[in-house]
Amino acid sequence: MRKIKKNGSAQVLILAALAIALIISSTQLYVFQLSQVSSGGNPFSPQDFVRIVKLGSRNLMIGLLANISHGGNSQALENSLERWASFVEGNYHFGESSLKSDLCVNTPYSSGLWISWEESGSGVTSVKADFHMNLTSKDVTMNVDYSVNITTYIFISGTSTYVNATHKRINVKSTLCNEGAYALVKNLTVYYRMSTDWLNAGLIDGYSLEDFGNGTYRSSFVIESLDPVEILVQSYDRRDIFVRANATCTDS
Amino acid sequence: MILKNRDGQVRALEALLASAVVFSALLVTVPIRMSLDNSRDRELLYTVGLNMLIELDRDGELGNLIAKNDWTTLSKRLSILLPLGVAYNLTVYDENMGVVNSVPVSGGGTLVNDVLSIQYPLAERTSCQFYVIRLQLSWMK
Repeated sequence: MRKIKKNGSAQVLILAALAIALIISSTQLYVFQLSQVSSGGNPFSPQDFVRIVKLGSRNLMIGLLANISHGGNSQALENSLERWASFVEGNYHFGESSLKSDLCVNTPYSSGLWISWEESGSGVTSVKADFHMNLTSKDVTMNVDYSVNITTYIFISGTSTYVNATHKRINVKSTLCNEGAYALVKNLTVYYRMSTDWLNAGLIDGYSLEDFGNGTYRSSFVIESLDPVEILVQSYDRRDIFVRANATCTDS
Repeated sequence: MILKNRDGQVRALEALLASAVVFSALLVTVPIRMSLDNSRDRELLYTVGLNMLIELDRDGELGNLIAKNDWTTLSKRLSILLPLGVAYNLTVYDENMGVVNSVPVSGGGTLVNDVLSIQYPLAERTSCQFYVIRLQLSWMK
């Protein structure tokens, strides 16, 4: 009788190969599924949308504040924010979104605005609103609250020194801030008061404006005056927001 | 003389079969890996495109260029900010979804397959108008 060979090494080898193949396939599938979960098939995320809307809200309020500070209608603030909310809601394509805004009414703000140009030594042009955003999509529900505050400050001080019996040298120091940080101006004009008129100091021969590069500027000019000199500084920041302040020069 | 013992040949066949099984597993998973790579490419492209738009919009420059219809400068900015090997096409829509850009704002070559689209709602500062920007991007293969 012929002896049947019992050596099963072939089956073991094939089984081992099958096991390796299975491990390779399952590992690849696992990694793929993980990546699908993390990316969701579409790289767009609600967080990105929130980021875009926050930036848009900020840009819109800068534009509105610039317009209002130039003499535009302050009622446009509320209307434009409503338009923006409606625009944002219509451009979220991954579910439903809602955006609500509340203009700040806490002192010193009124209907979202704080414009103070009459205080001696400083001027403020500011807008503030709180936003609430809700995004609902298949997998995510997000509620985001954020606040936008755009503020341009100017601080001024002036000194006067007699250069002779009738003439004074006026030095005006102006500092501009955006949201509390020093900022550069787009334009800065210094005026001085002569009886009831405000005259542009920039038109005087020998007027100089020194830019320290850190939001601080020094203007210097000589005028004929025996009385304390009143000065007025008007400025546009780089965002085109207008602010002004007045002060009386101190003798030094 | 013909060898009667065929053990060696059988072993060789077994080894061949075993390696065929392993390599077929590798071959089967290649499309999955390619798909994974594409997905990562798309994520990277999306991040690059979105960050570029946000950077341009941060100081209001994007809205300013659109308000001034300065498509040449806008195209130059995009070409500078996007990495080499990325083709783009930008379309600006107004609030009523009418196309605003009178000339194509594109560069980097022709958009090929697997085009990624980014929709970006924008508020412009000078006239407080709203726009939707659609930026299409693709890697040049």
